[in-house]
Amino acid sequence: MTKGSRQNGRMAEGDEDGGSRQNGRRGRQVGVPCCLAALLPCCPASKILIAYLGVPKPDGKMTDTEKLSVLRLEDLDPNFRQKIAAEPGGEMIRFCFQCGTCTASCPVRAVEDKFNPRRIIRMALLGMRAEVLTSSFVWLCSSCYACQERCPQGVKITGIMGAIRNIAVRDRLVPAMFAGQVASLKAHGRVYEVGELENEKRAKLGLPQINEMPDEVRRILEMTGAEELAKGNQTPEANQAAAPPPPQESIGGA
Amino acid sequence: MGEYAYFAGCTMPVRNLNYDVSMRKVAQALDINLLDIPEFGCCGYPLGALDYHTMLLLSARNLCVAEEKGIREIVTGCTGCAGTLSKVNKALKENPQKRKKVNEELSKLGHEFRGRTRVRHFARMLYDDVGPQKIRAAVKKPLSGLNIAAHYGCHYLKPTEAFENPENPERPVTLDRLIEATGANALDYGAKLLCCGGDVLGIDETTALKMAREKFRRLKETPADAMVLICPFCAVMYDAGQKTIEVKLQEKFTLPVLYYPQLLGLALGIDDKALGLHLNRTRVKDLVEKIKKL
Repeated sequence: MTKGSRQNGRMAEGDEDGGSRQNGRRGRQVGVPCCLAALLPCCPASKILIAYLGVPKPDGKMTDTEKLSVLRLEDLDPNFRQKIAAEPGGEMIRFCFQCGTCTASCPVRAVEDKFNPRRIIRMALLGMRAEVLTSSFVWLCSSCYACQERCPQGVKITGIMGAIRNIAVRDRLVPAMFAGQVASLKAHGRVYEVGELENEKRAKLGLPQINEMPDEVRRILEMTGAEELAKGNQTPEANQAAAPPPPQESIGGA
Repeated sequence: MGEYAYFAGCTMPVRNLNYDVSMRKVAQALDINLLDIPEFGCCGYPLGALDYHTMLLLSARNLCVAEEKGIREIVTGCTGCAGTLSKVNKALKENPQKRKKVNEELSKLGHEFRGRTRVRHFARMLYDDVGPQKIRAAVKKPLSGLNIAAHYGCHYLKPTEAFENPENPERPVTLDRLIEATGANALDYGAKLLCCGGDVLGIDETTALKMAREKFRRLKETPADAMVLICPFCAVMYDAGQKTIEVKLQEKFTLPVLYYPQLLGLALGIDDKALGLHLNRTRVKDLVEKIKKL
């Protein structure tokens, strides 16, 4: 079999699948192979193209899987990758070549399929801004840096997750726990209050007393507008799905 | 020995008093002077995900506070604080633009970052400045026959770019050597580098607990008598977490979990109550009795 015929063979396979879906294709929707979709964000004609990785059924309804696999170019933000690259930590995103070392190394992925760093980076590179920012999974990174240390391309994946979170926050998509943390920092200069009760417990063990000095921390928070940022007005689905943990169990994220 | 600014952080002084007290006792026994700095506040880590710049300023402020007191060394028992303060310290030392911007804002608080301090984790300081040999010499009750599983905690090792002298994050040795210095056997086990999941706890508790459970499952296959850790958040997941895992995931584990300074303290002959061992959430009584009989 020549290289060409092998390729044809592969395309024919794809056609079988695509062919059945094409029955339902309407109007000017154009089906493109997945690999082409990667190039589309940089394509100047992208405004008039609608790229489908899957096409709706004749009745117009889409299955959940199809909903996930549909990419409309009009929904993509070709500048999303630049925006991430402009954030501290996000600089290296363009170097990703999708080897998947990150996902293979990820301890969150090992227990929760929803989280897949390679997929997040791919989505970000494709310009799927809305999907990435409103997803619950960007908040699931545990910041363990296993992926970042192993990435053969030097992509700072944990940094990218941080960059994406910072962008989400500015879009007012903030997990609920941050408001409490900022409020506590403002009032006490620390994440947990050290009041009389805590100091009594400390004294029993012979530990020195702690007097809170929140002034400078509060002024920094005022300077950066952290309190306003933490408010948000849209809650990522993570918080709707997960019951809020007791406040003393929340640690925070990076 | 040396003098170090003691950065207690937010969590440890409130929720992990056993860690706080054991670190101080061990330091005292090894002639290490830990200075409490009342002006220290949050290291910045919790707000990194919210706004990088806020994290940077909060963190840098602490470094300035230490610098202004003429202190050259900061140590902390929290890997989150150690990682964040190291990362910011190094970034500001190496990046003049970033430093200028930070200093412009910190000048409003009367601070200036000059890059004159070094930040290390307490365990790394023990390893570097005291060293396993001296610790071994100070041990009064060698913990021979005990199998101890070291849990390093992610931010003790990574990102390597945050540290001035990082160790290999895939094959770390410092905590194992420190455990061996007590006379115990440091276990080589496959799940050593697993993340505790603590960072996910505030977002998705089930995922976090599943991550912690993974380590216990793997440790069940080993002859571990106890797990030793050096981070208050890892302790939330592995010490307090065992009960939560039992309640929420219906899987029971009964592995004693200690902080390294508690283990070392026992080997140095310090009373277990003074090391706060009665505050550990896992059952450590049998282990302590076993050690007493050694």
